[in-house]
Amino acid sequence: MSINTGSWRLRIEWSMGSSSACGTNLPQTVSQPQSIIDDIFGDGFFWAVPKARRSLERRRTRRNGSTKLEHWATPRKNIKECLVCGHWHLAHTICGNCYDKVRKETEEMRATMNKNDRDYNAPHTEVVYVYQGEEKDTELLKGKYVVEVDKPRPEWFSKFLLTKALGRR
Amino acid sequence: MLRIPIKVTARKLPHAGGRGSGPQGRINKMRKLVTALIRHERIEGQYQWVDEARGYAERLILEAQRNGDTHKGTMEMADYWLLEKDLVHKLFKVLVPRYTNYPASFTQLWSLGETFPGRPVPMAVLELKGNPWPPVVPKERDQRNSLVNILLDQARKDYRQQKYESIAALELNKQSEQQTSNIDDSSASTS
Ligand SMILES: [Zn+2]
Repeated sequence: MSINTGSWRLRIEWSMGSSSACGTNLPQTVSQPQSIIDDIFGDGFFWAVPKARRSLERRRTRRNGSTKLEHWATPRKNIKECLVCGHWHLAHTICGNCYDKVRKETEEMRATMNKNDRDYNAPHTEVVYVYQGEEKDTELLKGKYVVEVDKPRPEWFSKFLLTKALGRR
Repeated sequence: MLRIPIKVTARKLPHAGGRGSGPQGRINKMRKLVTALIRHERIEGQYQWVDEARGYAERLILEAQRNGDTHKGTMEMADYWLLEKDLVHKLFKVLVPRYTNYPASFTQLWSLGETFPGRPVPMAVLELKGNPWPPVVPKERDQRNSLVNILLDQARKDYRQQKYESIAALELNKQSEQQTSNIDDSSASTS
């Protein structure tokens, strides 16, 4: 019983063996115990039994009170609307619809890179993705691993991210 | 000193490396996740696993930044945590220069929540900062020029204009009444 054992009390009974049940008149045989376990549980046992009956209310609460149904049936109050796309998401999470777009774009970008360099020999410089119609020979991209993507840059993916990250934004 | 809040005790994660894999399976999973993070710079996974791997990745980058690639212990640590050895070069040649004079944490964790209907496991996105991918959370749109806001602004202006006009009309009425009463008083006094 791991749940709601509140009404179950342990009652420890010491059921007497035959030797200790007798009076003091009998000659006691003094003998060294074989081990510490024999010393403790020599002639009897510990019994753990319920001390009080579980009431009807407690039983029903235990069985039917807190189920997942209750959790599912209560309306959630931590649902927010995304300010960009208008889809709903939980308050502590990011918008799933917006992130799907990001994931798709990221996978497309990943696919454009040389597979050997991407998966087995990571380039020793920063990787920069250049979209269609963007300059490749600028000062910023000098000495960097440039990957060209064969499509125009999406509107929502702004270009200033090409600069080096500086501190907390 | 790590720059992210971490738990004092590590999560046990008994099923991280498969059922019955134990502590060693958990460590193997963490190594795989750290390796994947350093390679791809953005990974998805179960929140618990990814959050646990975040601390190891932060520590690895921090040690690499502090001690450099000539330190024996740091090299052993990088060798242990990065299962694919080309990433050791990436760690010291790309990530350490990227995060020099960098006051904040090197990684960012985003919660994706649970998929419903589906497996009720909270998922998360872990990424290295300064990566080349598009941003996870898009910039909030500038809403000033949206049609609704323009109409609301105009309505507010019109309402104010009406208010001012009504107040001005009231004032004018009062003044005219005072003038007429003054004239009446003066005419009465003269007669
Ligand atoms: Zn959204």
